[in-house]
Amino acid sequence: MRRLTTLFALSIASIAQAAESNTADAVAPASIPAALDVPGLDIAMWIFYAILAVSLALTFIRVARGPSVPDRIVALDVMGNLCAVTIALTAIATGQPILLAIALVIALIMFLGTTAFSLYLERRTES
Amino acid sequence: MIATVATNPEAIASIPGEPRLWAAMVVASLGMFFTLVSAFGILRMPDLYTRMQAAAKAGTLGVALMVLSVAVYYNQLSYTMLALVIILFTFMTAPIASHLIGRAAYFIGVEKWSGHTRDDLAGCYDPSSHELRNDPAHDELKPNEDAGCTDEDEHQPQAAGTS
Repeated sequence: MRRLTTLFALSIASIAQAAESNTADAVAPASIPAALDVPGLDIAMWIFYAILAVSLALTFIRVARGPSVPDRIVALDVMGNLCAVTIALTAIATGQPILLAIALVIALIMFLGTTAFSLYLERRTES
Repeated sequence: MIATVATNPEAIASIPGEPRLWAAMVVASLGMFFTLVSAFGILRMPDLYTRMQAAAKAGTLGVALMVLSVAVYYNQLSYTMLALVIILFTFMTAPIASHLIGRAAYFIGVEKWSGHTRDDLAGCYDPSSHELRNDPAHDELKPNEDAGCTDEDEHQPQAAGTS
């Protein structure tokens, strides 16, 4: 009985140790100097995000003010481009390059939206 | 500042060295510049048709350069192919989209800029069927074109005289 308990305690200790080493292994890659450990890259990312924010604001002014419907459609197209650029930038900033797939999907959906808008506009003139 | 979570082992294995990182940053800066230029063009251009060229040219170049910088940063075949697919798709669809918008705007009758001098499409579109046909005034110019004269400045006074 006593042997069994010591065995049990030993096994628990070994499991705990393994779990500890596992978590240590899992934490170690994240602490490896990844995307943003280079000095200056952080600042560059913030500057790029600021430029993107300014461009989005400028484009949104045109969406809100545009005198005709095609003006707004063109401005929304540019906003979709800006979204794709933002996601490509985030792929660099967070170290997740698979985010490029989202940029591809956004480009596809923006093209579909622009095409549908212009086809409906053209059809509206026939009636 | 921005949280760095590199859980993807491939992403960890491809931490860029210094030259590749600077190349990626230079390309990304160019992409940012063209993106900002397209936003300024959208806001400041006087006319729908001029705004459209700012959106189509500078915006496309901005997206392409930015995606290319991601491909340079992670120097791996799969992500490079994904970036090339995005660039190819953008280069194919942006002209089509702006052509469709411009065509719809021309049929709606969006007003042109006051500094606008000539409209080669005036009277060439059938207003009911939206088909492109030759203007009668253009047909009378055909003998000149057969003679090999392609200078625009010689055509224009004749077109003004016949119409």
